[in-house]
Amino acid sequence: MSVLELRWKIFQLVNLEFSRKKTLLALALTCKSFTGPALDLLWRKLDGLDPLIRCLPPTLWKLEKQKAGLKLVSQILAHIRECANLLSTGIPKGYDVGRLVYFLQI
Amino acid sequence: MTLEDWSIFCKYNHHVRSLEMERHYDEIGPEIWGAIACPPFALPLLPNLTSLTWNTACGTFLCIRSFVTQGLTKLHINAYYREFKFSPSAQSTLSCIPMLCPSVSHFEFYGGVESGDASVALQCWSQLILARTGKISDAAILHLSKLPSLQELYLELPSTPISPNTQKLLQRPVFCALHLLDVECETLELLDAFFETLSIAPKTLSVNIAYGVAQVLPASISRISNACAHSALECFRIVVEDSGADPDPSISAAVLQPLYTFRNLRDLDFLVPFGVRFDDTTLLQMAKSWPLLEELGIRGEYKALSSNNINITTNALVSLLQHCPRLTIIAIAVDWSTVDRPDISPEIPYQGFAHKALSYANFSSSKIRHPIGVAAFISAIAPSMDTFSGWNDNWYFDHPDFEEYSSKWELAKDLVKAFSAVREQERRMQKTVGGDGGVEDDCMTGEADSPSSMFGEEE
Repeated sequence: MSVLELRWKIFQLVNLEFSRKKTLLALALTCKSFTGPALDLLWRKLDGLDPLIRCLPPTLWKLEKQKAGLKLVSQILAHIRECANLLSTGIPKGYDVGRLVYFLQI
Repeated sequence: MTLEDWSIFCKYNHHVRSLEMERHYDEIGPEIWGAIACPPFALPLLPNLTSLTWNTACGTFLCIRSFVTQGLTKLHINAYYREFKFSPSAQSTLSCIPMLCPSVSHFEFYGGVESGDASVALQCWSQLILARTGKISDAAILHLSKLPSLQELYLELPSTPISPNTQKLLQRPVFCALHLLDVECETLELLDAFFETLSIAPKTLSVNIAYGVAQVLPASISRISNACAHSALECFRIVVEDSGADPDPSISAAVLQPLYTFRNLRDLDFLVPFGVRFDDTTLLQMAKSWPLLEELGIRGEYKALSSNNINITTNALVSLLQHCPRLTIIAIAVDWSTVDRPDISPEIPYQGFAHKALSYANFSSSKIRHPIGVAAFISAIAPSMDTFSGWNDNWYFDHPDFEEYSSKWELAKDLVKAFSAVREQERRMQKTVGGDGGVEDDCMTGEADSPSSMFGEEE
């Protein structure tokens, strides 16, 4: 499985299975070298933004039963101003910039 | 959202290659749209996105700017919902999108009334392979005509005829790589103006006209025939949706005569809101002209002509099958009177001719009295027939004779299935008899003479 192309082809076969999401998640958690390609396939195609929103802390969103949809709770609105301020004033020292850069890939 | 929250978002966003905001468009509340529009990093939100489907019904068309990327190759915008009207800012966004995603090769815009104009955007892309345009300007049509990469074009013609200047410019070699052309327009006059000077070689041509007059249609078909390379066209579909105030809504199937030179034609679908006069001679000419035919549909408005005008006999139907061995689908009305009998003829129809490919048929407004005779005939000449229908409920449900004829066709369909199953049994039986011989031979012969003994009954 150290041959990248071979690994990718095997993962693509997994991606066709009915239970693809579970299998790809299991592969992503198996070892570091599996994580990247497995997550690539898991996230490759989205039918909406909700899977990304659901990855955020549950305090930031809620499911509306009537619409069976997602809706943000009030906390997120408070943070919009904070983010807007960051954009105009720069990131304050209190933030873990190194980690942020890593995650944001900027 | 804090930076920590955004960091979680960015753990995953770069994996996303394709986003379809189609099914879940109503699941995201306006607060989320407001929050994600202001990320603490440079847009786009999904930096590796290559395919995006956007539905304007969510009312957040302006947010599309946050998602389009430099590497985006497929962009699909649905804007056909009646309740959605493009605001000036939405129109401006639509026109500017190519600056944010210059690599688009597949662009599909489903527009409706007041749902925006993609003309400006289209003129900014130079490497389109597929374009679905909505209603666009002459300038946009000219731009598309010059693209060397354009292979598939779904075009909606403007509400005013193509100008003489545009016609002149379309005289040059245009749409050089085009193999599929789908044209929608309001009237035949608009269609005629578009095809007037055109010279193209598509494999597939589909034309949909909202309002058409029967008297004008022959000239339009002739013009289309002149515009297309005869050796290239394999699939031709022409649909007229409404005859408007046409005082004489009837037409002869012979109007398709200009298409007889398209020797490679595989599929022909002719659907008009007029009565269609169709006879054996015309069908035979079609059969001889298009030997590679796989699908043939000639359908008109059943109310416009009485059933007496269905002049395709079973003889002509069989001739069609004999000339076109690849035919798998037909949709024509047939006069079944010669085989419409209450019993099964002992004679084998057409000396045992059987067409092995035909598997689907729509006999539209054909009337039958005796399903058994018709079913026996169909089963004999088209033993591979999988599905067929007559008096389909989508078309004829409001006709006073609907119940009578649709139920007879349903029965005919069941009978064909039963005949096919019995024939298969017979085949296996013969195989068994031929293969094993001896005891089994004797046994089968003996039992067949006495049906009651097969069930162990004493006589």
